[in-house]
Amino acid sequence: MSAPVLTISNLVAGYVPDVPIVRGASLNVIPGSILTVLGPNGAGKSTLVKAIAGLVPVTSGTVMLDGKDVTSTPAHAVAGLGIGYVPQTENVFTTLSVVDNLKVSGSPSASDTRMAIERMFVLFPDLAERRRHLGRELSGGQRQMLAFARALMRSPRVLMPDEPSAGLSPKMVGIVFEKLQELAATGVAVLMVEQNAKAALRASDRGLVLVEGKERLEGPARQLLDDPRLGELYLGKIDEAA
Amino acid sequence: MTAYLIFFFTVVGIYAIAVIGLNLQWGFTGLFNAGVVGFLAIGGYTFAILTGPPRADFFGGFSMPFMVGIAGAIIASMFGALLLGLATLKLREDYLAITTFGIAITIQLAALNSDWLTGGNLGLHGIPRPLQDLFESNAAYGVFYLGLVAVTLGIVYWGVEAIVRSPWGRVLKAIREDEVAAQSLGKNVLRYRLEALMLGAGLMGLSGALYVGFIAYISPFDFMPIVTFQIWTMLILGGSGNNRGAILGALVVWAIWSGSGALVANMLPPVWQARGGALQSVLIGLLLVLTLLYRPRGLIGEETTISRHVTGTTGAGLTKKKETKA
Amino acid sequence: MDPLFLQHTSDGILTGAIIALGAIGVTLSMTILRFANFGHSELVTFGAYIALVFVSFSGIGAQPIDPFSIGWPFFAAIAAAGVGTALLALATDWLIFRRLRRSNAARLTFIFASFGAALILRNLIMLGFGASPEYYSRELTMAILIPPGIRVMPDQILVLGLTLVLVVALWAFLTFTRAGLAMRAVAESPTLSSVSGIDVNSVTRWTWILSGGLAAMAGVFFGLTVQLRPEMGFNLLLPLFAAAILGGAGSVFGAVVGGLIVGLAENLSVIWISPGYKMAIPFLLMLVLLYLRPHGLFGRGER
Repeated sequence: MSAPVLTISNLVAGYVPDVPIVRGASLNVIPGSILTVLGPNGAGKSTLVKAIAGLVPVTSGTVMLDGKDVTSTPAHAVAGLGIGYVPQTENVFTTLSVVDNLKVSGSPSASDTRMAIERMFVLFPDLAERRRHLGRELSGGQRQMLAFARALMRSPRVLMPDEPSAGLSPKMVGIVFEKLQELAATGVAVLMVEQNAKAALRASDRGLVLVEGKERLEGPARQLLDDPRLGELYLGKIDEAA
Repeated sequence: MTAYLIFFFTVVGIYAIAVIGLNLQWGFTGLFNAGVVGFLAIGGYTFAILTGPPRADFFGGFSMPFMVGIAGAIIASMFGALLLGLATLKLREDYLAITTFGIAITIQLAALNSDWLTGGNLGLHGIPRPLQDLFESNAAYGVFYLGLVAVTLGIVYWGVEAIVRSPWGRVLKAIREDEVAAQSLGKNVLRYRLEALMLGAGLMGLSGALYVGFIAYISPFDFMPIVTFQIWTMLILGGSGNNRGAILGALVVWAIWSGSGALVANMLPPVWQARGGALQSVLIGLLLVLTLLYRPRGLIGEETTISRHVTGTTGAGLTKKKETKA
Repeated sequence: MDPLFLQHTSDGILTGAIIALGAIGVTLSMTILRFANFGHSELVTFGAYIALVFVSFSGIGAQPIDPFSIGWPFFAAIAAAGVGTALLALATDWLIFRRLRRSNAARLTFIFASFGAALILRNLIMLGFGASPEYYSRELTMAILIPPGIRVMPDQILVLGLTLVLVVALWAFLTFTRAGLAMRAVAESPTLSSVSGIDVNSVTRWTWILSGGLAAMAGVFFGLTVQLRPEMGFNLLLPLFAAAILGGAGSVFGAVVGGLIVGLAENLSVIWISPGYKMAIPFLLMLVLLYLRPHGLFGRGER
């Protein structure tokens, strides 16, 4: 097993000072693998990835990318350093064309950006066909793909999708998770937040359950799927509600 | 000196009523009215037209009783607010600010140009002062009018306090803090905000009418844009969301304004008087911006409410609504 | 057609062009800075007066270029006004709005602060220059007669031409450059822009520079074709807002069309009503529009 590309240690973060939502979380993400963060509503899953992306203030703890401390780096700089964050909602520019969506996320070098766009069109052929369409003209699945492509423009080491399956049809969910596996196979480390625990774990290498801002259970995805404690912490409540 | 003090406190009282009206809009509801003076002008002119003496070639001058003039002033200002509120309250906040700014400019313009109704730039003279015949000297009448203003201010203060503490007032605050939450409680947000806008405008109209009743004369130059800034500074410096702060602010800011005015009049040569006025305005502007930046709660901040979002160091309605977390 | 009508139309287009330049800045700040900037009017005034100061220092010995009333140094004055006003805009941002952003203030607080800043700036001009009107040039020029009887001053044609150049340049900037694309992205979503690698603070600065520069142009052009007064910007503020709202806040194209509509409406209104009410026209247009099409003539609808 290779060394982790992203290491989070004892991270404390929240929107308002003195009200931490992430409370001392630690985790490692390994290149070429998918780590899924699960947990009940309000556990701080989204806040965790937002804090890594530089969108939520970090009170203490560290975020190390490739051995470099990137804690509390502004969001726009994090993107340039190689962490591609995909928000759950509003993850594409609806008023910009597909090409412009990608261009916005490109590096300052115009030729690099052009090449990266071509790479994305190979990776996501659907988008190539709709390159002149505006973001709002895309279907839900296409939007999710554009959101991935946007986050991949700077060839990040880590891709962080926040609930990529939200609002998609079951068939589309399968396609999205397959795409993530395909991306991981190219060496990208994926740190994913998901509500849809079972489907996400089936597509992941490892899983982690976050409760009240701290990890409570971590292990290989297959094992977690069968772990009764997962149900106690999380799935049981979901099943009751359903 | 006594005469001046009576004059001073009468003006402060009249301003304070408008400041409480603005407090209802901004402090309690979070509505930005950039044309306060427009509503004062609507009230003032309505009062003057209803109660003024008839004159040739003019519309108005109906010589109606004082109370009818006051009621008319309040209703007319509320109607103006209704017109703007219906157009803008469902849109983003900027639009109310822009249209209220617009109505203030437009009313002043209309007042300047509609000679047949407002007397144009000459204004309307000889507007009767209530019960003046009962008093022998101007000084005695001054005391009476101060009393009238003070009683009106008292009633307004008491009334608005009662209103903001009522269930209606609590809904207003809830809307200001978190529109989405208030909406989910089934409250018709638009309607509550419209009512607050109109009620506040009504008080501004009342203030305008009392002013005209006081000086027995009205002209477009009484309703310059600077009045809007003065009233805003009074509210912010006093502490928005707090009616006692509103009254205190009226007192402090009017003292600063008249004090600096007297200074300018005495210190500067006549040719520099216009620029002296500019200096006063800069002072008001600085007071406003600096309070906003460094003491957003004003002299007396809002009393602690049940909501946790307003506790802390920021002033009423000044902090961002709670972020909705995904 | 009635020559009077044509004359007012021609005047309206000129006024409209100047309003459009200012309205572009208003619309940019409404969408990118996310508040209606009441201080925008004072950027217009400052631009005009910076050019005046520049002209009074450098204008000596400048021969007017026939048929215009101004000489070559005036173009340097225009540039100085643009740069100076952009710096002033950046300074107000640094002194006031940057602090508000840091404390996460609500949009209304920004509007409010701009309102106070406008009062200060306007009265600083008053303090420095006094209330009497000023002119860039006392040079008399001959009106050009366009059949069937429209009279246009050469300066007016110059202003119209320069406005056209500026608008086309701005359009090209927003459409073809990376900075322009970043501005369009931030207009839609600052958060998504920053996770896409765009430095939102830098876009904010660009927005102030552009809107300040364009406001200065509007001020100088107004000063050249009408006159300079401390309240010139303040009197233009309502037309600027009306034009921006008419065009649907956020659209540069809309702001230009909105500016032309407001300018034409103002000038044509004098055919039917007393010129005293001319200034009320933008407000009435705006109010009617807000009732009928709240998101502007071309707007799609953003709350």
